[in-house]
Amino acid sequence: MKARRYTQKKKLGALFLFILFMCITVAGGAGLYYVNNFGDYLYSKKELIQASRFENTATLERKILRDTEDIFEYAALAQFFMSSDESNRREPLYVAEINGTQYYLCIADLENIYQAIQEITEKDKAGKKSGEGETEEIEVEIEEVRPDLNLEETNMDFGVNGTAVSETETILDYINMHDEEYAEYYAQYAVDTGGIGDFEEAWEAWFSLSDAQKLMAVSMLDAPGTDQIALIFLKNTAEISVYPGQTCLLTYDFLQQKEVLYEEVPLIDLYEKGIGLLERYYELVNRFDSEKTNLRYVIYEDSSLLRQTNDENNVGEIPNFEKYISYDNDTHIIKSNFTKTDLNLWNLDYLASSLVGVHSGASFRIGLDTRYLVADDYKLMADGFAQCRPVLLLSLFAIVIGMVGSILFFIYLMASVGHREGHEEICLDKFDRWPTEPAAFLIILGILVFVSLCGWLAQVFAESFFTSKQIYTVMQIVSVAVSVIIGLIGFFSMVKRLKAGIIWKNSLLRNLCVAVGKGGKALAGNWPTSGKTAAVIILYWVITIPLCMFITINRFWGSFFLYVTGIILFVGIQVAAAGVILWAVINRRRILEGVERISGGELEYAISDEGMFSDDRRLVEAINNIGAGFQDAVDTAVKSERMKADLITNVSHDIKTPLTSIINYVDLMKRENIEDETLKRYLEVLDQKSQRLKNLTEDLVEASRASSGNINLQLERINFVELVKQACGEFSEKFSERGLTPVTSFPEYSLHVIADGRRVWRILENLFQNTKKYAMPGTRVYISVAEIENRATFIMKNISESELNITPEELTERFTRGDTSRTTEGSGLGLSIAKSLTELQGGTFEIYLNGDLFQVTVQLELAGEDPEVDTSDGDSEESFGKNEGEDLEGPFNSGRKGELERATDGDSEDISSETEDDLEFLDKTFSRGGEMVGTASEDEAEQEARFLQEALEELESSGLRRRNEPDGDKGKERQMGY
Amino acid sequence: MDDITILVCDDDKEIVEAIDIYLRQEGYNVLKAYDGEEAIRLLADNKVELLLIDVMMPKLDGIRATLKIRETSSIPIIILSAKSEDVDKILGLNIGADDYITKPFNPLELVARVKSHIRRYTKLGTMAMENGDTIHKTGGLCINDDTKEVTLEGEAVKLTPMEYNILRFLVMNAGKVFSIEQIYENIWNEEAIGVDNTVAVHIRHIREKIEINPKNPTYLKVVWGVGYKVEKL
Repeated sequence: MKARRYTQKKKLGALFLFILFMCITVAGGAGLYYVNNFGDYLYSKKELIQASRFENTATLERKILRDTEDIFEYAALAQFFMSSDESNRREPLYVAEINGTQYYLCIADLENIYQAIQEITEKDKAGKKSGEGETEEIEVEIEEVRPDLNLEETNMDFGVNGTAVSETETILDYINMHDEEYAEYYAQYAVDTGGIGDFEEAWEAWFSLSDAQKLMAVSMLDAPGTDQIALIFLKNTAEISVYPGQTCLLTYDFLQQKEVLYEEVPLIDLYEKGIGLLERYYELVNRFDSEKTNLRYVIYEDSSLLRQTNDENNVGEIPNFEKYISYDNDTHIIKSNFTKTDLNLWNLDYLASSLVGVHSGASFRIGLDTRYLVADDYKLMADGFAQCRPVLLLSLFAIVIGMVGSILFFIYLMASVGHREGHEEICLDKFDRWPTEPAAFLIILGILVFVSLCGWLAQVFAESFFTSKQIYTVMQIVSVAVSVIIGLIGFFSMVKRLKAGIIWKNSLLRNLCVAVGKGGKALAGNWPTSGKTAAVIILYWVITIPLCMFITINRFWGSFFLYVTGIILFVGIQVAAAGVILWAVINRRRILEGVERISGGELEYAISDEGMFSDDRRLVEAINNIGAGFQDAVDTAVKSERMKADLITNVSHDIKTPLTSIINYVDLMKRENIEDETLKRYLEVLDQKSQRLKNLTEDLVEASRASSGNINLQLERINFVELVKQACGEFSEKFSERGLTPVTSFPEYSLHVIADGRRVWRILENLFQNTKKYAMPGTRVYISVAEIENRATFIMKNISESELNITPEELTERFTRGDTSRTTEGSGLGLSIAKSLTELQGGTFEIYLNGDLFQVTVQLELAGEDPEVDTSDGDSEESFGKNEGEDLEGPFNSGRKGELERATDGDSEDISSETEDDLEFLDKTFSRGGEMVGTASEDEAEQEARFLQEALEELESSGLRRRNEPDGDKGKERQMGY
Repeated sequence: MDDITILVCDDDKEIVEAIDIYLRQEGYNVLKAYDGEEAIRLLADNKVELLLIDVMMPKLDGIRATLKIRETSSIPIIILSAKSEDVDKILGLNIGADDYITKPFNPLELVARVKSHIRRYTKLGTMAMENGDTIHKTGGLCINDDTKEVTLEGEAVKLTPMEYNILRFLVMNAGKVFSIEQIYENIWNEEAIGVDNTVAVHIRHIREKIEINPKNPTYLKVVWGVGYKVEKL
């Protein structure tokens, strides 16, 4: 009942729906992937989720706030990179303003520094030819940095300030060379300290200088031809000391607005930092240009002085924007229409006060022009959101629906798989019947092979004519799809196995366990034998393994004699073992052959147990006993069958004698002139019945002989067509008496069969007789002979006079007749005899009944072509005569033919001389009373003797019986009324 | 015919009695014996022209008796036996009997056979030896081409022209077997195409006319599945 629910249609539908839902899920996934890609550009994952909840306002506000910070950074950088000195405008990296004078560290300066460093390094290299590792590193770094500079793109002024480093000499030397006042001072200092020439001392001396002195020293930087940077004072007491060589000392990084006390910074880092800042500056310039962003901002210094803006004309409109923030530094009031962000958390005060060059803090206004006139991030974000939202929602919906649907149908498929309409049990296909492990392995292997095949194909295609990205995508899809299909097939197969309960039953592991278990059981079950065998094997190992070791030891370390002895011993053992195995195999073969011969019918065959031991010997004895037993059984069966036939024959003989008298005396009575009609009628009955009894006894003997096969067949080559024609001739008048019209059909050619002509005649005679007796008068009898399937086939059809309300089988049973009510002269054995005789000659005998139609088919095997016997050939007539002669003589040797014929001719004149031998021989035979004739030595005589012997024995047995009990027999006869 | 004596030997007195009646009706003298020894004794003492002997008898059975009788005499011996096997018949005929009749027998057939054997035995020497080209004979069957007469043991047999032709053909080729087609071609001088059972019917008619027991013919024999032949006797 359960199975009926899972019709093929439903299952296919479920599979289709499952695939459909899978596809929906996959499509949803693809949508998510698209949104995710898009969202990665705009949002964090969290934001994406928020976006899915229609919460992009907070994202927008946070972005505006982040941009606000950037704008302040931009303003700060602009402070440094925009020189107030328009005539000498440079792109400064670091700016120092001391007493109204600005000092710059420019990109160009840094460029020069690097050139100088390179030169120095090369010089050092040439001079010292040592310390290569470090110099090379510098070179590399420079090489790497340089291409990225893109200084032209930044539009920088390459005004050279002549800051270069030439050699490592003490700073004081240079000071001395260029300024007499300072030199003087230094000289004085040198005198005070007791000597010059030491850098450390000079450095310390520098620190002891007053601000004025320092300023004087720094001013030298502006002087043309200066090739040394000494010190740079930066605002807010920031210091950078650049030493000749490769390091500078950064004490205060104003950009990070934190003290970095005496951190040694490699010059290259400084350079990079400068470049980085410059890039950042230009990036921000680009970003916050009014043409590039929808943001509008304005920053005021000290609440009134315009510091920076990107839209001077419409500053006042900012508070009208959909999103804006304004901050007044005087009142510290923040104005905003932000709804999702707590502005206090963003510390706008600090932001406003940190602006470089603004002493008391700045005021600012920032707003987003939500008309999105400019294609910037905000526009992209707005557009993206508008685009993504439906896709995202649809994708999420699709994923949920797809997952739910596919899981449901997957469960349904799992439940239905293996069930088939009209089958109660689980239906398994060929693959399901595979052992579990190989099947699972095949599935996994299939997937792996396919995936790697796809990869390989992708590579091949990518190298040839597709772009690699396309083909990889296609191959990925194909491999995933096919893997899923293979995987599903495998999975469902496993589910089916599980349902059918064969997943474990069919597994190799279980079979292994079972095999091991069986082996163990067999070993235990046949313990004494298996134990003995195992003991022999172990003994063999125990002998051979130490022997091998013994040989090995003696080969390398022992005596040669022992080595050779060991080898001989070893070979001997091997030969003996091989012999034993071989002998066992031969014995087995002998037993097998014997069994085959016995089972093939050679029951008297006995297997010789010569050279066999224990089990084999017992086996042979048992088999021989079986053979002998069968022989006995067969003998008994044959004997009893023969006895039965003999009994019937003897009984019929005994019946025939009184029957002869009855028939004769009835005949004699008929010859008397009896006037009485009643008596005449009685006599007629007696006559009929005695004739019938006569037929019955004759048929009975024949039937018993035929059915027991106890008949000597004289097989010869006869023409079946001729025989049927002869039979038709014999019966033509009998048929016409009954008003039957034979309709015959014979082939044009003769059909030869190997059969006993007289027996075949007997078959046909019975059939014709039958027809004559039981066919409806005035009907036609169809007789045909044909070759059907290489068999000579005789078919006779007639219409029965009386009802045929029995089966064909019953018809051929003894004493059964088509008409049970009518008494005729038939014995009821005719068909039975015909059938038995046909089968004895290797033919088939079939009766077919259909209503009143009686059809009998007799088929005999056709004989092969025999050119010797050809009825149309006149020369072969001789052979017929011979055949006939043999037929009559039966088993008599043809060599004796002439003599015997003459002997039986009844030719009184010559009988004595020619048959003397025969008579003498027969006399002897009689006198011995059935013993074997031992004197006959010639083959001829022996053959003849055997036949006569048999004949006489039979005669003897009945004769003797008569002779021994004559009184009894006679007494009986008398009792019977004589 | 008056002085022809037949010895009937059977242990069943009633059968002997019945045969006695039949033979006496035909005008033969009958001697009766009830076992083999008695038969031999009677044979030695009397002049007997034919012996009817049963096989299964006390003291000395029919086969042994026949063997013994054959040592001294060549009179026709007909064995009467309930044993109807081929083996029995062959044995009986081979040890010297001239005929073998199985019980239960048809009295008329028995008488006919007895007559036939007597005729052959007594008239053999006196048979006119007018052996010309026009006379063909085998055994007691004689065909005279001139007179178109057929005689069986001296008695004329009436045959139709076609039957006469067939019998003449077979007798002239006595001992040889001819198939239906061969006979047809030789007698009708036509090619035998689609010949059914005309020949077979004619043969049957001939058999009924010349044979004592048409089912067990002496002269015109059926070789089943091969053809027909006239025995060369």
